[in-house]
Amino acid sequence: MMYRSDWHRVSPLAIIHHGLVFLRQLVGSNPGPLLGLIAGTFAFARESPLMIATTVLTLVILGVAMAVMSWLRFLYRVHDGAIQVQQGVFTRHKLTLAFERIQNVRLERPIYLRPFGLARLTIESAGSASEEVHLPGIALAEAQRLRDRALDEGDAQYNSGPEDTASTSPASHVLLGRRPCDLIIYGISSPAILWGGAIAASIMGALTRNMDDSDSQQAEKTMDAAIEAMPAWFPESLVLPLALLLLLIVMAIASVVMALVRYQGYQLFREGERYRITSGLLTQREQGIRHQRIQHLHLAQSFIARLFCRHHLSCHPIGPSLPDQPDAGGALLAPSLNAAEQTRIIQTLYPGLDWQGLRFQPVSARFMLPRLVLWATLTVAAALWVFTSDMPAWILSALLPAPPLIGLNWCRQGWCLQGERVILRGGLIGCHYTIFDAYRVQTLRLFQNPLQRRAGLANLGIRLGSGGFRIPFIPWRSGTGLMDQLLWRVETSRAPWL
Amino acid sequence: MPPSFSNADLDSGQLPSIEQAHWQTLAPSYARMALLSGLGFWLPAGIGGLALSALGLIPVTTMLVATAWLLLLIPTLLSYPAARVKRYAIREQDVLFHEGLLWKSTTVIPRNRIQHIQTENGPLERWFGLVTLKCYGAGGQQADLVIPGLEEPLGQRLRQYLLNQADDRDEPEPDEGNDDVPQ
Repeated sequence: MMYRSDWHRVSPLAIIHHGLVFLRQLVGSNPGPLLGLIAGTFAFARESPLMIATTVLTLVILGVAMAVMSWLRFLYRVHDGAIQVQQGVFTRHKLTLAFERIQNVRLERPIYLRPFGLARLTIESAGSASEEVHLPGIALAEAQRLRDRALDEGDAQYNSGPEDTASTSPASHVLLGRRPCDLIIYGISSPAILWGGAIAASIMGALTRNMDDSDSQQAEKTMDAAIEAMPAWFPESLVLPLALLLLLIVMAIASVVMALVRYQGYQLFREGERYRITSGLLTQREQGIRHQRIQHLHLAQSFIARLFCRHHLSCHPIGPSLPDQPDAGGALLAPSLNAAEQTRIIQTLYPGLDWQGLRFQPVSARFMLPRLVLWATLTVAAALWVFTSDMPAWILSALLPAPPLIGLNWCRQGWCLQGERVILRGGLIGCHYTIFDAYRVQTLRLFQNPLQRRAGLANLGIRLGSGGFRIPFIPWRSGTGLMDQLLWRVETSRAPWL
Repeated sequence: MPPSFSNADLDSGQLPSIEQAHWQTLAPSYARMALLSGLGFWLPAGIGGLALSALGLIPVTTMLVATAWLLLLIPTLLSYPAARVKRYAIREQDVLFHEGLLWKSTTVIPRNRIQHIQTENGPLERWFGLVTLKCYGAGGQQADLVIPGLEEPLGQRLRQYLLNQADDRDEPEPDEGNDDVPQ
């Protein structure tokens, strides 16, 4: 096969990257099925070890062959103001990504590439997640050159004036650093803790599914023995809560370890009009984004984060928003900010915004109505269930905290338009904020159900390139007024918004 | 309760309001088409369901299937008035679409945020000579604004008009069915 001379092949160490990608695809987001398969294989292995050995060997050889083929068929070049990539073993993909279209650049140095002075460059363009290019195993200097070019061409697109010379070598200064104690708080208060729980649950599920009868009897015996071995003064009713507590502690520790490994040495830099984050213990990551590309800012606070008075900040570029991902779905993250840091970062990102002096418009108290109706229905159903079966009545007390929480949730809802900026507030025990420039709005939708129409209320849906938001239960007049106001800002704005 | 915007330099009452937009109705044949496509699904589904339960292939009594079938006739028939209340407005700077009999909604996409415009017509729409116009913004997977039931020449004219308006330097192109708007 003949290749054009300017097509480059990446380092053979990229085979490890391809192998890991293959493995990650195999595991997916839920490791349960794979663990089940492994557990099943072990059970089967006792009967015919030779067959299992050959199967495993075949799979391993197949995986390695796939990784090697992926590496062999992966070519890239920089041509005509764009990065072009050819990849795919069975189906050939050719992707062209113009530098000026690049939204987000990530430079990673995984532990297997670092000793060789190599890096992995991930480039995202506007649009779907499939428009993401990984360049694994290219020289660090080359990766940095490509990254700088991607970020600079974005600058050049908007600042074509001759006076703009600063963007080529902007001064870099540290905006934010994170100490291990900040990361520990992030670990126990971030959604990653739920991921730990999900993984633990799927492992448990896989184990219990694949245990045959003799195994489960044995497990029961072990449990009984464990309960008997406990001192006599220990009340049996505490076993379940203690087990749950233990699980929570394990989840928290797993999440803290994940946070420490992922964000070790975290530093947020500002270099002229762009921001750069470096972090990571095993894989050193460097994420960069231009100020202009940030579509919206999100400040999240779980109820544990509220105990520590912290917020986790994320800057979202254009693209499908994946909020449930452990590292904010490709968004730039600043974990566990205290109030002062939060104000400082917001002042940097949105200069002129009076963060402390915001006055939020409340939403109508009818916001609580559908939630209270749902709660009442559930309570009636639960009460009927308790009376018709021999369930203990204390179960009903689990539904008691719902109305105050609904009230709290209503108090948290609010919106504010300050100058060019829209700030939305929400949350339950913690308080979430979303901040964006009014001119970045892409679609607006005002909608109401029959009851809302009778009460003169409506919901306003706002879609940006980075995700959608909703202001619920506002007066119809406010809704149309805000809609007209936002449309006016979008339609009269000449600011680059992509 | 009037909104108190913290923006001093603009009287929000003077802004052009979406409520004063000049609304256009969809093609009269669109409501017929919506009803026909609804019935086209309802009729075979019901007959199929009745036949399956009569033959004992599904563990549901024929009576229950017949009741469900008749109940489903209500939303099917409602598709006719629902189609008739749908309307759109093309303003100088944006495109609006209104729909809903009970759950009403008004969607707006500013013209300078339209990235891509597409016209589509399925077999039934072709039969009635109608097209669906879809406007896409950036970053999303689905169309941000969909206007169904436009007469075909009007749909093509609208698409061309919105394309030209979105970028004045954009030269009119031969009809391809979809176009990207250069930003």
